[in-house]
Amino acid sequence: MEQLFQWLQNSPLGAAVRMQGDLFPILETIHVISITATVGCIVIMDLRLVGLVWTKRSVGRVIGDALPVVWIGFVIALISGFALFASHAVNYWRDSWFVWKFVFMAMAFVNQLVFHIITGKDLHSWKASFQLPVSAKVAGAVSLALWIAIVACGRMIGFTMDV
Amino acid sequence: MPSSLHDFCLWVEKTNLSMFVKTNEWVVPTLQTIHILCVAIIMSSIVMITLRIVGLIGKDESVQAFAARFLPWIWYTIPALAIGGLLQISAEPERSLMNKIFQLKMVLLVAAMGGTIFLGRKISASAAAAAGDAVAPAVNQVQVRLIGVAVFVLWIAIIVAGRWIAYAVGL
Ligand code: HEM
Ligand code: HEM
Repeated sequence: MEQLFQWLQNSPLGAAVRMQGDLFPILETIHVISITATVGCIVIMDLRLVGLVWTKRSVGRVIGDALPVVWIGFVIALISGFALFASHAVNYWRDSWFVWKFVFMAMAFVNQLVFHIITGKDLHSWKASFQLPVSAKVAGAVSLALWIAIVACGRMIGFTMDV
Repeated sequence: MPSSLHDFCLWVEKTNLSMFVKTNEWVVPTLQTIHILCVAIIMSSIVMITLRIVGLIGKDESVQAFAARFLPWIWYTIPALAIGGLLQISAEPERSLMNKIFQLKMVLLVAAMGGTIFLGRKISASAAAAAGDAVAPAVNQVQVRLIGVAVFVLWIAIIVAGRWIAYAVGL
């Protein structure tokens, strides 16, 4: 693994992000803009799923409004995050906050997948007044907690990583 | 001129609050995490409103309903951003207060808040006009779209400035 990351760090991409003027801050800014859009839209869906707010609009519609932004933002976060990662790949890999960020992200995906396949398989027939099953509320709450943790881990990297 | 601001910074640095934020390692990362989460709420709210205004999502519902659902969240979050931001500043006042990008961010924030209020009013006015209220001023959709996109750009500019404070220290 370390060898692969060493190679990535030495690659033209890694070298450019590490050394070329403002490239790192520019990518970091793009990362922050995309993750705030993505996480914010996830929060919107989760809060609706927990049943706390906006109960006049059905869960399916709220998800329909927010999900496209989640995915577009995520792809941009992935690309910008990967480029940032390439600049100091070995050190990021050694930073436990960085690793936890991905563990939590994997958990969030599993949670989302389980929700869509099992609990929410007939989501689009849920009316706004539909009494949400407990399992849906739990899925929303778990997602909320995981994404808060992911943001915290992402922000911690800069404080703990030794470059 | 900067000398009085400089003196103010020196005074802030000696307060107990500043000492607390500086000496407890967990405080600044926690404040920054909350700051980013609050930015996420503002960002997603304004994205939802803007996408509805330009007609990309939620066409089964009115623009006004979208604005009513998401605009309040912008106002709920700004106080949290202001308090958290000021706490961070208390630790290192010069880093922000004497920072050109931070000053720009505050100007942009005032502009974005004003723009958001204006947008809310225009949306209500255009809804009233559409409902056939004779006294309501005529507001066309193009106007609401232009204002919506301009306000969206202002909020993005604040995020760029916020992230750039760290790269403009001492410039
Ligand atoms: C939507 C998913 C993601 C979220 C919510 C997220 C969250 C964050 C946050 C909050 C920061 C701190 C930003 C700052 O304040 O400057 C950050 C930085 C970073 N992220 Fe992400 N991230 C995501 C995806 C990714 C991915 C997929 C990668 C890598 C492939 C990645 C790699 C990085 C790197 C390298 C940094 C810079 C850390 C530093 O040096 O300070 N991120 N992320
Ligand atoms: C009065 C209100 C606010 C104050 C006093 C404030 C203050 C601060 C401070 C002190 C920082 C840390 C900068 C550094 O030392 O590097 C910061 C970062 C930041 N702020 Fe604000 N802020 C406020 C409102 C906002 C708003 C409304 C937004 C966006 C909508 C925003 C977006 C950001 C962003 C994106 C960062 C960088 C976060 C990071 O990557 O860690 N701020 N702010």
